[in-house]
Amino acid sequence: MSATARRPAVATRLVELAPRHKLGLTLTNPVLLAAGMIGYGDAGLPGLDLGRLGAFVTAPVTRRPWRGDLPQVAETPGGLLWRRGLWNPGVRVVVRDYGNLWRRSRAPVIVHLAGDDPDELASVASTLESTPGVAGLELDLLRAYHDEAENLEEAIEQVRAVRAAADLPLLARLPLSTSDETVQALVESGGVDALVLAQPPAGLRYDAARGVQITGQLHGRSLAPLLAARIADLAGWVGVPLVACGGVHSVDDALAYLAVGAAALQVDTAVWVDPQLPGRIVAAVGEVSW
Amino acid sequence: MSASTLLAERTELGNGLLLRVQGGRELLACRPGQFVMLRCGPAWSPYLRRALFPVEMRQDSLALWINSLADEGLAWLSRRKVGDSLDLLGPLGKGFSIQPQQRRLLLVAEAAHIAPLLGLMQAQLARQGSVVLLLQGQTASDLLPPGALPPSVEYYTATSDGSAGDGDVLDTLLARALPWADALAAAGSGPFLRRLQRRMGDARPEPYRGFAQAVAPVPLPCGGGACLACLVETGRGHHRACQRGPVFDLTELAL
Repeated sequence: MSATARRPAVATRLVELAPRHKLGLTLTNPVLLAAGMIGYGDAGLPGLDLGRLGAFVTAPVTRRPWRGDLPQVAETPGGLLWRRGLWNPGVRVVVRDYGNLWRRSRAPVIVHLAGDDPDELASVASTLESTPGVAGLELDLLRAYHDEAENLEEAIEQVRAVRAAADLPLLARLPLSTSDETVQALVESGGVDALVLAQPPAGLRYDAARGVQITGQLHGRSLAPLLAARIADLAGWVGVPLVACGGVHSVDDALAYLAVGAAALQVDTAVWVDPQLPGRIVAAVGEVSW
Repeated sequence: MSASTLLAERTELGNGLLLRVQGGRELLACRPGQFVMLRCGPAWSPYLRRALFPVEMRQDSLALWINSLADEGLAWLSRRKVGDSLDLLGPLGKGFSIQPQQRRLLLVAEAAHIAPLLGLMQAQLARQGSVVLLLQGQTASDLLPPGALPPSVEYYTATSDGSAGDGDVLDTLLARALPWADALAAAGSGPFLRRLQRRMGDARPEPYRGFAQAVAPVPLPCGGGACLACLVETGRGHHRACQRGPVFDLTELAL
């Protein structure tokens, strides 16, 4: 029998992203899609097989409808700047429009909460807790380049508010620049089940032909080594599962994250270009001995 | 669908290049106004796929037109050779809807945006309909040469510099062609389509919903509706052009 013939139809490598949570968040494999990469689950390209994913993270959800400047995408060498903002129709409409999709989803759904106000976050979390199909929550905490002590205090308050409102596993997505001390304090404060590293950093491209500055969150392959280094720094001592988010553009990128200590990884904008990439990573992960 | 397609033919068309690709059955189900996403370079450079509107659909192939090499990805694509394989996703989005009784089709476009209308033109001719094309360019070199179009298409041009017809198709030609048409399809920049809406309102005071459709003038970076860069404002809120469009009723677009 050939090696190919012995492969399981769908490679599996169970991963637990919320070991401290009473319900846990057990995924069939460690390959997720990052926040918003397929909208609320409605925006995938042909070739993406949702059923093979460990989970996907939705686009942001706020309590009320959020509109700002029109979203924009601008290419950079090997990546892009994405100014998305928090565009969404508010939690009530999101649940109305996508709740059935989530309930029937072949991949667990992790909803990305957005906003700063603890009461508003709690309100959204409470609505989502009673929405069938929602397996967990993800929340951006801390802000890059802000005062860390003040930042931490605000983050802990946000986590407590969400935790009090909803008994769902909670993943916290942090800036890459977050210090060891702040990471430790956040984890020790309780309530965070896993850390996602990292929020896409802010970038700026100057379009000389038009004389304009284009800003947005930076996505691209060059982030992979930065993220891998930070995951490796934290993996030995942080005490909660680490999820690498961004930079993955090949199977090797993904395996590198797992090798240095990530429990799981999130593929981001690469899936817009190569929708079969997550499936190939799942297959590769199932074949590797860990 | 996701497909590896084969570049079967390269020919010049106007000041651009026509690439004929062969692919699977799903790809060939492409309707006028739908688009495909092509990977336009190796190793993530350039990063994103490029959205292209097929300009002709045949039983075994479809044709893509590259009319500008200013873009790095399209320039790469233009260098592919016959026999090369291309990584193409599609068809995506919703295309034009022309009813069987709409026999006289008026096409109105700016030269740089005309590709989706060429596919519609071919489909209308294939069902024995009539087509008039009004094309606006900056200068004569922007325009498709008459020989590039089927002889049965009535073709009128205008250029801003007067080198191939005077002025503006919307000022000089539209009012004459409108009474003839029982359907209109347009493609152009936001300002061009906004002026078209105004002219339509002047020339046809009765509601023209269902008569005129237009390709939303927005980028399609991800092609799937995730990035929201293709948001289009309509009278009923914002919609993603790559999912709900890119073809909309002209009356719907808030330009």
